[in-house]
Amino acid sequence: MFVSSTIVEDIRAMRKAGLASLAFFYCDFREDRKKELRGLLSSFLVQLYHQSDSYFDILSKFYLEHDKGSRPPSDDALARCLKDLLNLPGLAPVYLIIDALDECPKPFVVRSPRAEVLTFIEELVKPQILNLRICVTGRPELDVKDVLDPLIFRSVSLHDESGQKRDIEDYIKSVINTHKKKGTWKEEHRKLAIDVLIEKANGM
Amino acid sequence: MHQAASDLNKAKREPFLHVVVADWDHRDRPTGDNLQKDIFGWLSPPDPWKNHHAACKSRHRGTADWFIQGNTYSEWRTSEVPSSLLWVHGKRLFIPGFDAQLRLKISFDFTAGAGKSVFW
Repeated sequence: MFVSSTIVEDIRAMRKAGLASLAFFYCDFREDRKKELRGLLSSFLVQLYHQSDSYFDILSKFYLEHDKGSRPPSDDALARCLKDLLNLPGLAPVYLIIDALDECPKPFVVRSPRAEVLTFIEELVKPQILNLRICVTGRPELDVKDVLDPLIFRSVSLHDESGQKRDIEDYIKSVINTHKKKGTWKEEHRKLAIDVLIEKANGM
Repeated sequence: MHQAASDLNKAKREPFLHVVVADWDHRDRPTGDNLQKDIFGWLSPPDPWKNHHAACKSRHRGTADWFIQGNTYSEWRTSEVPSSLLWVHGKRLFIPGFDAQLRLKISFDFTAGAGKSVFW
């Protein structure tokens, strides 16, 4: 989550300088529309259409084709519209950020919400769209790895990174050192608390 | 009647629209404003900013800076390879001693002079 939000902030700065377009999506198991492809597609489309007149024109046409919004678009139609938009030549690079893909559920059915999102990512990567950069974060669950591994340009395992370990240590120290009961602790106990928590910090 | 209902719906969703797009770079669209609102209402997308603001708020200062400054991210960010996919994977952080809201619950039980720490 923190990596995604940091990336979003970084790309937002590029977008403000006119160097990029950006759309992001935080998968969230607590909200129905944030754990399915339809929510992701509609969110991306609405975020992007503010960022270029050409995008706005494509979405306006899409809206008119659906009788000025009197018919709901199918998921396939939304996906096609987004692909049309991403395939427009000569525009600033587009960055799509998808956080916590594992929060899209994977019940025991063939077309789970997560499988649909994964298939869509595959459909974006395989045709090699110019100026498109996609970042996906999440737990490395098998079904996700199976689809993403052959598509990857770069990958990072946060658990193996010393930077991530330092972040955890800094965070633990900060919480302990600003804890309201800190004043009642002896220095050695404070150190002990920090050491034990750092030692116990582990991924799950 | 229909017009009134439509106006009411627009009025209802406007505050949400303002919140969601407040951060976006608006272009001057004297003829497109209503169309924008109509399309927004038609697609009714979920609001990503809620999650983003929550993440930014709970993020400890400096967290993940190493990632942004690292080579892998930089290579992806400037990649000329079409459809460049960056896959960042990790496990949910679990630290015994922190509860789900990442608040610290900690106590010390010093009995009989023996320092015994209890974390839960």
